[in-house]
Amino acid sequence: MAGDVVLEIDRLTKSFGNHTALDAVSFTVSAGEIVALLGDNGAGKSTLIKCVSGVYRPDQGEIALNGQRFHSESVAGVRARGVGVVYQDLALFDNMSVAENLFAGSEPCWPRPLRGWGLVKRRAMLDEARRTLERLEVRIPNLKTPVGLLSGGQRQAIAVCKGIAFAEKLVILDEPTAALGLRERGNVLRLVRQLPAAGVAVILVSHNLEEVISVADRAVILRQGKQVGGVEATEAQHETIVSMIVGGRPASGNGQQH
Amino acid sequence: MCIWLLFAVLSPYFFTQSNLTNILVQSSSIALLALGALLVVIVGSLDVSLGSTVGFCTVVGAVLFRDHPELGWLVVPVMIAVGLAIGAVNSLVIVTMRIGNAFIVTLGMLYVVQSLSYVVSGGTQVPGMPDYVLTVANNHLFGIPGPVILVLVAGGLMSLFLNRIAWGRWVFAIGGNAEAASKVGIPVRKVLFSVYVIAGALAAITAVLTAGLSDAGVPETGFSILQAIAAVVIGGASLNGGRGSVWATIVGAVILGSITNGLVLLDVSPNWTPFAIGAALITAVGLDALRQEIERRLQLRQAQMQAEVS
Ligand SMILES: Nc1ncnc2c1ncn2[C@@H]1O[C@H](COP(=O)(O)OP(=O)(O)O)[C@@H](O)[C@H]1O
Ligand SMILES: [Mg+2]
Repeated sequence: MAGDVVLEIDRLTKSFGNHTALDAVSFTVSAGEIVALLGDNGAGKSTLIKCVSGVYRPDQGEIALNGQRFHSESVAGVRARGVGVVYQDLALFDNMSVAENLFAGSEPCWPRPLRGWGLVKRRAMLDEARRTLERLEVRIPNLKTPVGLLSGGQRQAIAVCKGIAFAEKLVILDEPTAALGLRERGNVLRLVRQLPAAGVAVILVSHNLEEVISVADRAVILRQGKQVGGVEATEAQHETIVSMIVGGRPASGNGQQH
Repeated sequence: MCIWLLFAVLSPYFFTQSNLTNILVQSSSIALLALGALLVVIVGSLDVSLGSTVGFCTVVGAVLFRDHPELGWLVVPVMIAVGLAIGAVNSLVIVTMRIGNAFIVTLGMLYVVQSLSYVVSGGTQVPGMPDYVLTVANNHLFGIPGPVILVLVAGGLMSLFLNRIAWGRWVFAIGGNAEAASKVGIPVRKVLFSVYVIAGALAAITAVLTAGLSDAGVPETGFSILQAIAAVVIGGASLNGGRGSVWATIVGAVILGSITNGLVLLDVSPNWTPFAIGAALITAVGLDALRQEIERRLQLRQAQMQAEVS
């Protein structure tokens, strides 16, 4: 099922002051594969994601996207390489419309070479937003509504759409279902499951092991910034995964890499 | 609105065309300055140095014209350059060097620039401005006073910038959620830098207007910025950033101008004018809070109903 390697993380390290949030973490993700990134609160999952997406500059280590290696890259540069991210805090603008949120930072502009100083093509943006939400089967009645007025589930859905709609190579989702009810959770997982068929690589952060086992192929486990294991995400590995997350007694497969 | 009705009832002269024109002209410099203040407020900050920037620009322009009357054409470009430069200093300190809170830095700049304008002018008015500056400030075009045209043009351009240009939308985005802005790849620091510089330019344009109206360079304390910020707030902008409107801000400035004008017509001592402005500001903020609370409840109600239906 898995195709070419899309993302390779090589000994990625990041500290805040004298606290090492990420300690020489290495793994790869291939096209068509869903890799779960697991770990307790504070394990470094969000930090890893922000290093990959260009929000943080790693202290050490390298990242390779589609075979191109770099130490750090701008957010816009990473996005241009086909990467979409759904952040844990959603990164939405409550004061702006649904359509504007989907395109914030990469608005369709005229004339194009002017980039930030061009006119925003509002019509095109609205049409494209409507098509995108339809394609992903997310129903928002009015795309001009400020996002701050929507329900939690709708906001989450918009954040997910924004992360996956324009990403051709890699989608990273940081706890996209944490705040959701059962039905909304199902909707988000449905969107995630559709990605591998399009050849997209997926990294999914989640605290819900049932959910991880049901959608992911593999799991990479972090504890206090260190990579403590990588296993198949199957029901049989449930116990192993739990013990890796919480630490304590050593589990089989500990420290092993895929 | 209530204010206008009140004055209209109490003084029949208030609603005559010539008095309304008067109000618009009297409000024009606060309206222009408020546009600069608005930009900074939308991005989630405050710039109180804009008022003394106006004074300093007028003084520099007047001194240049006094000493080199043959360089009259250069007066406006130099004034604009001074405004841009002061804005750039603000940006440099706040955004590039990241020294302290923006409000405190611009408060410091208020005094620095105020002092410079007293130094350059010798502490007094410097009379004389080039003819073309006087023309813009004091003549009419198609029966509309120059200052009003200036405000409308500046308002139109600002509105275009904030609502239609990506850079302007990014100003709203940063004011709404600065962290998210950097996560979606908006060049946050470049946008912030530009905001103080554009505000400085608007202060300089305000200076051209006030210098033209008084035919002089006038060193001032710079506290006019407080009235401009009041206009921004009466116009419904949020000091938390992310919310504000160009036309509502201009209306806010006109409301403040109407209060001043109306009280004069009613023969109320000018000592009461600041009182009325303050009361209007507090009332406006109170009403806005009430409006938001009502909106929030309506939204909640709606959300609950939707949840019940599905
Ligand atoms: N911007 C930051 N500044 C300082 N410390 C941080 C920052 N971001 C994360 N940390 C710290 O790094 C560690 C890992 O955090 P995080 O990556 O958010 O964990 P997770 O997402 O796995 O819960 C935590 O101890 C957290 O306090
Ligand atoms: Mg996290």
